[in-house]
Amino acid sequence: MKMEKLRVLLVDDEEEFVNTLAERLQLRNIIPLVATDGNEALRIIDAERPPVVVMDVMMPGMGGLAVLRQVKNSYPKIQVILLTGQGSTQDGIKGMRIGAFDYLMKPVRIEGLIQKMNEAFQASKQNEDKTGTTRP
Amino acid sequence: MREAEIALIGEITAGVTHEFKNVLATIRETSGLMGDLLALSREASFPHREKFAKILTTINKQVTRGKEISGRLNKFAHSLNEPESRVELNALLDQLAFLVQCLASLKPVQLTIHPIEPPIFVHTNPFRFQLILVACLEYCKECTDGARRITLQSRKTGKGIAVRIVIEAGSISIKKPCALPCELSDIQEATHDLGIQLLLISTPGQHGLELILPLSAG
Repeated sequence: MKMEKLRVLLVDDEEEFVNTLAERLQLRNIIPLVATDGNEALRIIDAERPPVVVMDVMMPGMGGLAVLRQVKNSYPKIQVILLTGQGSTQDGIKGMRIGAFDYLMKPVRIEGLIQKMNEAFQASKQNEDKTGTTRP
Repeated sequence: MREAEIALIGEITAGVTHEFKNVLATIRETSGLMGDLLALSREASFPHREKFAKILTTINKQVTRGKEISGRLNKFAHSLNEPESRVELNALLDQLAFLVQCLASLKPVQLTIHPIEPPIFVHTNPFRFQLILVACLEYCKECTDGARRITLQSRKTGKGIAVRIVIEAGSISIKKPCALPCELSDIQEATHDLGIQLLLISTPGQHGLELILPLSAG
């Protein structure tokens, strides 16, 4: 049976960071999508419905928590992992209350991030099974 | 006005540490990608392969170090904006010990924390409490001919939560002060405002200072 490849949307206003991370994930057989602001993230989510989103909390314009709120309202099955700054655990906790899958402190180790993304992917699939809906 | 200034410094410092964290994240991913590419070309001949691998390990180690420093500074910056809050004493002392080891004047001193068990929470102004502790540490260092080791011990007493700053000078002679020195007069107002009692310890076995936080605030 062919394994379903993980598609993940990476959202961060730090272009060099997010593009390099995308490249590293690609080398590990993960399909990355990239957005550098909240509005672009919502457009990609509408069009692509990635099962997992990894998103920075602090972004200019629409911040990560505002995007998270909209994602959970429109697509509750999509799992969102937040990236927060150290010492800003309050943002992570706020995010969890809104419905984030988890939060990680930046800078993250790629192994830990991939593990968390896989857990989020499984959770999104379980949610689909419960609701009986299919992915696009 | 003074409080507004402190709050602004806290806000700016927190913002800067956030930016610093983004710099570290980009360095980690970029060096990580270099490591990935190096691993992919394992079969191909690549001059200085081992040297490159060693350099990448060093970069990664320094990113981890930078992450801890910026994280601690970020926490400290946030404490500037908290007028009064419930803080876990061991965590606060540990945080302070890490940061003061970056101060040139306290760099040669090894600070050791003896945590209180079980951990306790105190209700205080974390920033002002840290200022008091730094002043006490500076004083303890100065009152010897060069203290090399200072321990921070906390315990619950009948009077309140006691934080003892003890000089472990070994063979170094102690310039015994007989009363609270004028160097500490600057912080006496702060200790008074926070309801903290400041005591001098000068016994044959122990020298240093003791801060007693009121039980009602604990």
